[in-house]
Amino acid sequence: MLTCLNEKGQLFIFSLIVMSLVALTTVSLISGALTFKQNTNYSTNEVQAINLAEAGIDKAVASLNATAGNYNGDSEIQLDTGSFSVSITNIDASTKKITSTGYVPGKANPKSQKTIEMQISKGIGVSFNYGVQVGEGGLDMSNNAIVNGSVYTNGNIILENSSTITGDAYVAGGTQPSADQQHDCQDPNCLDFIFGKNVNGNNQLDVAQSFVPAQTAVVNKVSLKLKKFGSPPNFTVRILGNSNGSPNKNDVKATGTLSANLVTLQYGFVDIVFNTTPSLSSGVTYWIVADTSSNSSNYWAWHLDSLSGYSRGAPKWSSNWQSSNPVWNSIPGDLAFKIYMGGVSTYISGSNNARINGSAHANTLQNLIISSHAYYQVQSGITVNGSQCSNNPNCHPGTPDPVPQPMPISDGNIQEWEAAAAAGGQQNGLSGCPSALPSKKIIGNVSLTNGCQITVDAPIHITGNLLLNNGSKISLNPQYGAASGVIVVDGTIKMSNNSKLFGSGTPGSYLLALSKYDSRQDGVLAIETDNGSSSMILYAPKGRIQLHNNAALKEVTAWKLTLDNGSSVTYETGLSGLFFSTGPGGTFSAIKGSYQIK
Amino acid sequence: MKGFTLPEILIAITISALAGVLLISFLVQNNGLFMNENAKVSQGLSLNDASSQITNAVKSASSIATQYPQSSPQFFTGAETLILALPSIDSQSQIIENVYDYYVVTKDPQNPNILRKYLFPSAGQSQRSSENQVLATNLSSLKFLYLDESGSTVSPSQAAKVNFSINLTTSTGINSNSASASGEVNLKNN
Repeated sequence: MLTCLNEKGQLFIFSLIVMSLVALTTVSLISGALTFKQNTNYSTNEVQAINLAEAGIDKAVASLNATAGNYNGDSEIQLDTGSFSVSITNIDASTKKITSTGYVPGKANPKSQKTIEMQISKGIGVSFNYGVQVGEGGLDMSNNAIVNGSVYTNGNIILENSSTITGDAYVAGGTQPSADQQHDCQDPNCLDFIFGKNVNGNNQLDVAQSFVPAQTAVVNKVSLKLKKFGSPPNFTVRILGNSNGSPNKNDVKATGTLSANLVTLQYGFVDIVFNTTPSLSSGVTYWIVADTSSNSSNYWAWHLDSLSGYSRGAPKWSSNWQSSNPVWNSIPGDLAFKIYMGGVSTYISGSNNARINGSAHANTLQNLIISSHAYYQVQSGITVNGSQCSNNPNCHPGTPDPVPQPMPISDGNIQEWEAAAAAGGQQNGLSGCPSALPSKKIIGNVSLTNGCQITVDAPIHITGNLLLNNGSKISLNPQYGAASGVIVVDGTIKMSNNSKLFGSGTPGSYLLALSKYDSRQDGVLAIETDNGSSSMILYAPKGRIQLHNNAALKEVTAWKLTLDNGSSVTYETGLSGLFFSTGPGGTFSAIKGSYQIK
Repeated sequence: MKGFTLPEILIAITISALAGVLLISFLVQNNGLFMNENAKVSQGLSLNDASSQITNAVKSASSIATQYPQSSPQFFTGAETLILALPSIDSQSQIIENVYDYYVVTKDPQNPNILRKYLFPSAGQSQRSSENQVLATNLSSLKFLYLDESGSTVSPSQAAKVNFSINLTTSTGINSNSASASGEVNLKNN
């Protein structure tokens, strides 16, 4: 009886224990779920705050350009999910810092806030991505010349007598010098075709021009004659097949990106290269399609020939080329374009201990010592990673040719610098040694005497030749801070022994010497440097540059480049994000590398 | 003496046994549910944190590095390793020109089920502290794609944006829970 009494209630106690455990785990679950919900809300709010802060940056850039720099920020602007505030700080004469903070749900009692800082300047961003970039003229190196960095050329590379490229070497498939198909307008029949925004109720976002190739060959690049309004972003350009007189969205032949930096406020042809080089057929219709997004204050114009002078194609626009059933609308006229097709076999040829310490990429590789990998169609006499190519996993025969690269500065960029220089006034050529030179256009030659030291504002445009005699030095005004400057010379540039160009003194600032001289017909040197010239960036898009004995530069871009006895080019990482001031007349745009989430 | 009859005791034992079995079953199911839901919560928190950190790092990066430039430890950018060159910052949190810290997201070299983040600041210049942090455990797959502005796959050094996807799988008894996060982020400083 006693035993029975003691056993009473055990099930009840057990049930209490079970229920307690269940309650405990349930509370724990609910607590975990609530934590997860809070964490997710926090993450969502943080993303929204960053997006709001970025909206503030966009608004600030647009406002500064709309008010000629007279925008000082906003204390709070409410958007859908929150608000942002913007403040502007002047760094130097042409550079400002934008600080934008996004708040969710508002500046008062925010649940989340994030701050983004970015610097903007009046100027043009330029990316020099290679130590040496050369056009169709190619690169010749001899007698211990060295490139410390990578090389990209659209023409052949010849390496002689222990010359060395320490990075990778690329030679693109040779591009024919003239376009297979092209069209341009002539005044007074040139009109703007606006796209990348809503125009009179039409979302003119995707624009296409058809063409019919004259030959069956690979497509290398296209050039479009464009200008921009505000600061629109890069957009995608595709080659599409044809379907019933409109672009066929299911037949994309090639895709490339137009770099917005190369387009200016004035019309100019801008090159676009593709990720692949597909073959197009003679007599078949294809379409060049520009694919943009809508922005009412940052958009594009394509030069339009109102006389419809191109007989092998026609332009159209659409609001969305990728929609299930895209509607393409005719445009009266023809758009200005060039399309380059075909090509020639290109090569890297070496002799006497020529070395590439990275990888080599070209149609044909001959007599080279390559440290990493070799990518080619044809090879002879190459040593890759210490052995010849039979059964060598570092050899890659059958690799398609690299695609040609556009030059990092467009004709439009150069025109913008020239216009900015002209806005500073003009003077006749000079010979001597002024202590300072403001930004202006100089009609005639400039010759600096031996040992001359001069400080300049940029840009400067010289219509004649520029001669720096022995030991003369040109420095960019220190007020330019981190921005770089450019001297545009219509004629040739000669830099005698130990003459040099310097940036503002701030790291990342350079003074670029640019020659527009066309060496392609007469072979005359556009830029020539002698012994001891150093630490400069040289640019000659149609010209030949020669670096003589022991000249040591940072970056060289030319149609053709020759490096002889011991001369060198040593690439610096920061050259991929230079910002060139255009002086007071330019528009504000972001300085690459200055975006920072605080 | 008063007492229970055998049938009464048998019935009581049967009822008790049934109730006990039901309670134990309830407890086991509840525990399973707890483990299941707890795993989901843990996965969700890890994915939120990892996505947020990777997104902000990619936005701030100047470029995607092909490898961590120091000889040790060795990391190479690829489908399962992301190496970002972040602009270094000074003591005022301002960017130092042409100086970079390296941010690495990869599988743990010793345990591939752990997603780890490393930060290697530029010695003597950057004010960032070095980091070696677990972003997630129970990693089942990790993938980085390097894209240009048109969305085509390119080599990491030419990328304008990064697409990432992270999958976590947690075993909860005989079952397993999977959760994933993915995103596509532009390099704002590129």
